[in-house]
Amino acid sequence: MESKQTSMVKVENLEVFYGGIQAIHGVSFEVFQGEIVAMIGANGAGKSSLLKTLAGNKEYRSGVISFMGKPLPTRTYQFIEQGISLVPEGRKIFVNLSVKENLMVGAYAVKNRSVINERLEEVFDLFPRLKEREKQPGGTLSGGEQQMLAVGRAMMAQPKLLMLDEPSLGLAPIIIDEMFEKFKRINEAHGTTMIIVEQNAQLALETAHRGYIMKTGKIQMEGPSQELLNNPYIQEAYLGFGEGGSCDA
Amino acid sequence: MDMFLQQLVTGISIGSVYALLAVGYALVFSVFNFSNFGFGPVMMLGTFSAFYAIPLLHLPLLPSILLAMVVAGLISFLMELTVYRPMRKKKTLKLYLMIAGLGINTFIPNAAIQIFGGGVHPFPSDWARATIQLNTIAVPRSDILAAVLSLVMLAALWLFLYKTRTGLGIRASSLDTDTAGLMGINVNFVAMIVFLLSGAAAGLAGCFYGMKYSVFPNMGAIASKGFVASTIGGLGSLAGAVISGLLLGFLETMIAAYGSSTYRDLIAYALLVIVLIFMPRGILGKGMQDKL
Repeated sequence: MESKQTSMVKVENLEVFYGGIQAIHGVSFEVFQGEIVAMIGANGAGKSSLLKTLAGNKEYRSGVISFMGKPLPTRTYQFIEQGISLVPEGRKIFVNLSVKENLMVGAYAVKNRSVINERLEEVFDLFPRLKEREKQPGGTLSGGEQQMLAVGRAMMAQPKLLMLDEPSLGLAPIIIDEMFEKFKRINEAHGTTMIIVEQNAQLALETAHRGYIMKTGKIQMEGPSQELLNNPYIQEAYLGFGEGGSCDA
Repeated sequence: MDMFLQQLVTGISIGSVYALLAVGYALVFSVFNFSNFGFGPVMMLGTFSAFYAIPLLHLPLLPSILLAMVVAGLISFLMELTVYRPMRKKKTLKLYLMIAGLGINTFIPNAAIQIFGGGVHPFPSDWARATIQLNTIAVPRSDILAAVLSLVMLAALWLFLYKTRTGLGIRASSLDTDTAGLMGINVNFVAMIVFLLSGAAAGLAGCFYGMKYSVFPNMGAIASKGFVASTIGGLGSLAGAVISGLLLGFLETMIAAYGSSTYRDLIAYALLVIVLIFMPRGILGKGMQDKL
């Protein structure tokens, strides 16, 4: 199945350091156009570092990364023009800017006014709550609304590759489910390729087509989501099924 | 009453100089979280460019003020380019950027004394010195010009920051430079605009200060009053900078008029310390996130 798909991101032997500490050890993987990929792993497994590197927010020491067959741009602000968008961990919305202004910042790389308005409508369509709070400062939104805003802001650039760093962090379960439904909807409607980094492995794998398991800066396992969900080791280590627990996934 | 009105006009004109300087500090602080202590020399060099352009190029007053703004803006940007940007790239602590600024603040005026000489000169505009009679009080034209042009500059700055795409980029950068970069905002471009604008404000303030007092290599020392105002107003807050700049100018003038001019600086700095003790974030600075 993968052979006929077009490659979007290809990472080979990536090594990333924080000062003297190595966060990513020779990681290689590939993401294909139109798919949702989940990156699962514990805290400190290197998932966020990987996303930051792909978004141009972190320098890497060695390795080769290509995006749609070309090398990555050199400056952070150029990544979004290429179609790479990151919804950062902790959402990082601009608290003093209004909801609408936050979205406009997301469209900063877009010059065409009517395209911006079109996308604004799309985002409000996807998250009607944002339309209601259009004029409110981003900082006054609830956690769930802030996550909607962060995703909406990224959507304004109409990315080819949308990367989400821990989108479920700190949200109520019902909001999380709604959020992941939206991710599927975005993926189906726009064909947006996605990499979702999550500690909520169950949900991420149920949403994604494929998954990677990261541990201490390396990729430990990979495969189609269903396979990973059914894997006894993963069930025990990441899905919270205790020994002898039922497994009706 | 006439005396009060007279002092009020003086207060507003010196206050608008402080407000412009304070806004210059606030602009840089809001985005980069440090104060450009090389700001006084920026103001001085801008003023000197007008000082020389008027007699040498026979430039009229308004174009020479514009020239001072452009020169000051460029010098401010040059500081960013040659000193602050390389230091930021090396992830230097902000404290060291401010120490470098203090170095600039001493080095440039001393270099200026070598080049321009240490003399104290009047600003070469007879038009600005002339007074106009408003009812019972005589107001120097320079005071009116200072108040009007400062207001125009501040209004233009507000429109730029709040009504344009680049202004939005600057405001986003002031809240979170890292995320702004992710959104496609070129932070170095933002830095250029911010340093140009803050320099231009200093150039404008310098001309008015020169008209009111005189033009000399150490005139940049007055920028410290702008810093006091921007701190009292809340570092990085533009509204706070304008309000406390005007307030400081008003207060100083009243103290000089009804008390003694020797108390002027005493009061300004005492006020700074008192405000910092009770409101460490200044009058309008509610927190680090409350900027622009």
